[in-house]
Amino acid sequence: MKKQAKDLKIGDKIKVAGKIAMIKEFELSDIGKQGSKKCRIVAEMDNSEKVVIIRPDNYPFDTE
Amino acid sequence: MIDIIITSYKEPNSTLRAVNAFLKQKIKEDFRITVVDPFPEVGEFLKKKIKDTRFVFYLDSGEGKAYALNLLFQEYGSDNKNDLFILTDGDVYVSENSVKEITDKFKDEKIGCVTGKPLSVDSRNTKYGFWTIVAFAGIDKVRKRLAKEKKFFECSGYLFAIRKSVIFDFPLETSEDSIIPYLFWKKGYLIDYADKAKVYVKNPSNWKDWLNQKVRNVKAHENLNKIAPEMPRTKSLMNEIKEGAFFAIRQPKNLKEFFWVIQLYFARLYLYIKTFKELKKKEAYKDGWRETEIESTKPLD
Repeated sequence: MKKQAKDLKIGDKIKVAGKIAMIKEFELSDIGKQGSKKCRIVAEMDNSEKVVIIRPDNYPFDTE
Repeated sequence: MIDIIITSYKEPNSTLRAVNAFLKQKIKEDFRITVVDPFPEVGEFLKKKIKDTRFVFYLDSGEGKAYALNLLFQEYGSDNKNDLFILTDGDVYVSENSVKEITDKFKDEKIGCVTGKPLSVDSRNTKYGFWTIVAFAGIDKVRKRLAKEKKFFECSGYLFAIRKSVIFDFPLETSEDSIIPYLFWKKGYLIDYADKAKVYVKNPSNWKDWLNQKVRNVKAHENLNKIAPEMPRTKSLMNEIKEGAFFAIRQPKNLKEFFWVIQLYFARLYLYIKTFKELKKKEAYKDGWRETEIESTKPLD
């Protein structure tokens, strides 16, 4: 199932680099230099590695 | 699977050459070439000219090279440690053997990052061309030594490659060719130098462009002091003096070149003074698709 970045919540599982990662932190920024809001997501993979993901708020994520 | 990522900025003709330099190579592995550029017209131009299905255009949102690379690391990442990213720019082009030379280095499982060898396309008969030839020769010498000693060194953003499954993000506020090798190093991987994988680079040909490009580079590297203070630095003022000063003075072949080397010492010193002054005034490095255009480095556009 696809979800836009702005609709994600802490605890959601998203696909990153072919792996499933759980969202641990979520922030929505003000409008940036390209005229859109950005989401900053910190997601944790199975091996406990954290990944920082920054995307426009309408970016489609694969979710589980 | 090899993902070749070419980051470009409104340089359609040179980017086309950069793509073709990969397409004409005999590459055994599956590969895909992705051009990332914030201008849709570049994508339209390239799609008209390139009919190969392994070519993909990715319209960047204009947030900068580091942002685009982070996104693609996360989109194209994989679990297979033999999968690679090869990173290069649209305004340079690689030698015909470059992919093979790079992939051969990754046969050693301890290698996480491999950098190619930048070569200047500028004439030695001009001052800026000569300066670049000296600088690249110095980089070549230092990298050969550090690779042999299995020590850390930074890569060239013009051409370097990494294993896919190791890092999925990196900080945006510094140059990717420094921080990415360091993140691999911290995870226990070695850096190697593929000196036969050549990448041809057009460099600035006037003072304004030269200074802008170098100030930007130095600022990006100085940001490392904040982001990764423990990182062993290979690109720094002290290292330039230690490794480069004596090397540079041995490069001139005639009196004209000797004077150019003397000028190069003062130019490098001036650029560090200027950069440190600007950093003191809080004009730090910002990632972006070149806030100041370096016009003279555009080879074809």
